Amino acid sequence: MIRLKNVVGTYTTVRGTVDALDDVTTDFQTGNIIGIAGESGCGKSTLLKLLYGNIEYPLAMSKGMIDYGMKGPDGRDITTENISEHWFKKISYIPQSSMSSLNPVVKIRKQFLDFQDFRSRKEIDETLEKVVAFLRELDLTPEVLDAYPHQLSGGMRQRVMVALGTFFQPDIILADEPTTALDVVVQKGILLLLAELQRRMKNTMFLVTHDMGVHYQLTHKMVIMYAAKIVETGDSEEIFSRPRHPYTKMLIESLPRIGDAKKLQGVEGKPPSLWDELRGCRFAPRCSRAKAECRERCPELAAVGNGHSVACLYPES
Amino acid sequence: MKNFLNYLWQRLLTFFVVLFIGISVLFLLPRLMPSDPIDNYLQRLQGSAGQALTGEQVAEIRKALGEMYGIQGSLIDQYFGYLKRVFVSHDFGPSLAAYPKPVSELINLALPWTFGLMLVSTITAWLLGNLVGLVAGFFHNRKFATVLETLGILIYPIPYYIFAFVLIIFFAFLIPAFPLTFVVMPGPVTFQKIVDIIYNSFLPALTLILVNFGWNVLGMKSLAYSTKEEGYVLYARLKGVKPRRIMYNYVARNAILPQITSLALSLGSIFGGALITEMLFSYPGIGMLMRSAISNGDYNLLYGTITITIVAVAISTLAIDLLYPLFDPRIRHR
Repeated sequence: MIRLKNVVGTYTTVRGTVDALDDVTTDFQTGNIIGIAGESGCGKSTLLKLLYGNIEYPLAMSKGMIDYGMKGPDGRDITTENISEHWFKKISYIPQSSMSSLNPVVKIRKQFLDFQDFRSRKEIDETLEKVVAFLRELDLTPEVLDAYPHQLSGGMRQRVMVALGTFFQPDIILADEPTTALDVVVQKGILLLLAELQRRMKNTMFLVTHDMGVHYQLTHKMVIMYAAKIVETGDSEEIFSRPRHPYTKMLIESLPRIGDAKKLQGVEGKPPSLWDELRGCRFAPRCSRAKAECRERCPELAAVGNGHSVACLYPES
Repeated sequence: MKNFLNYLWQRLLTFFVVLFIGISVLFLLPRLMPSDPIDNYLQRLQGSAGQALTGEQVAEIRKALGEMYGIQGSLIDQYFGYLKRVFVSHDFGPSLAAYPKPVSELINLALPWTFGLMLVSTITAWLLGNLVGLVAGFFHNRKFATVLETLGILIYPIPYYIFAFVLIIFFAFLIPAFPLTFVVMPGPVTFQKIVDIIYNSFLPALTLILVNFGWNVLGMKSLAYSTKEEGYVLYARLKGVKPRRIMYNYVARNAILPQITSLALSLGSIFGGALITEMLFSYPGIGMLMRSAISNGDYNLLYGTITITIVAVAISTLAIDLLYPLFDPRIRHR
């Protein structure tokens, strides 16, 4: 279990500070693919940065704590302070842009070896053997090791990124829009690969994407975010079949389905600016069901049964 | 391979066109100068003879000198004769001022001095400047990086001849640690001679190193700083790659590419010498030779010295174009 307790992620800007993640308390069950969805600026990336422990000015975790429930090889608990020592061994990251994430003037081989220091030629060869075996499992020919990034196709490069991120079999994988820049056929291949690897390694994978269809097909759990808050969490099946938060419902209704007769509904309006003083429910101005109370009282994330939680005063039934 | 041969062929063609244009412009330039080598010679002759020459005598001497120096006939004739000398016989004839010494002999004497001084100072400044610039750019938010960068900013705008003066005043005049003028005895190469050369060349070299150092620091600092913001550097950091390794394998490896081009260009200008530095330190290099050629209207010597510069620059740009794929795999010809 990965527990977030009252986590606040604050950015310092020239205009002052702004909380891009505002008092988030939630538990993530390990061994699942956890989808994170929401509009741009809702705090998805901030949540990933805090989880990864990549906290650098102007971002700071100004309140709260994250309990990873893991121990490092030295037996100490992994915390936000020391998690960077375990990057890619215990927690890894798959970026969205494979072209700009690989060193353009160095062969892929070297980029598989620069995680660690080697004491002998033999150690390097042993690691390389493991890399080759692992690449074969991922349907990649070992020849990619001798290629420069620009010699590979977009799909191959993203597979290399997946291979880099999963090589050490980390307990947690953060995938930040891993298929955004790819065409749908290649996208499908990468997503199936991720799902397959997760099933085999039984690790926890956080998947951020705007594509609700991907979430529906791949994830076990869903986290819906809106304006720096988590508004709904639960099993994906449950969330997609019985969304309780009006925002989630609108997101799902914007998904096209085969046989749709009526025109699709978009989500009207835009999220509130985090600079403004936010009172009451942050979704209330766009919510068709909002009552007077919604504009006064901020709803907390509360369990509604079946491991399903929602932050709404008047959830959908 | 076929692509490469195709590229090579085109690149060589450009090389020869550049040479041809450069050398043609070079032919015309000295002829636009107000001083004429024959007038200069006549003046010297009259001065030493102590008596005025008659108009007839002058005309006769003019004709004889013109034949001897190979500067008679129309401009077109001279031009073709000149092209033949440069491209076919590689001979620039005798020096007009130091007649009858051949130009090639004068150049052969001066070239090693200039080459040694410039090569050592250019490479030293490049290595030091890039190392300091890399560190300053990579640790841009640390205090010592600001100090290093300020050093570069303070040094680079100062013209190198000012540096030369300051160094001469302090280290040759006030504190006579180094000689005011360059004195190395001719003779066989001995250990003592090498020490002499280093001792005598130290100040001119230091002048050149300091200025190039400042440029390289600033160039590399901004390159390293912008490379540090690239996605692959961020990813390497998130991979847990050690900062030292990120600095060398990621930032330096990518930021050095434009600096390699700039090194090649400055290596090309090595043969041109450092005119003012050589004059100030009376260093016996190509720069000094060029200066005397200009003031004496010595066409042949000027052609010789400048042609060497043109050929050197053209060859070094050719070399960098052909060698660059070794450093940047993205432009390799397959």
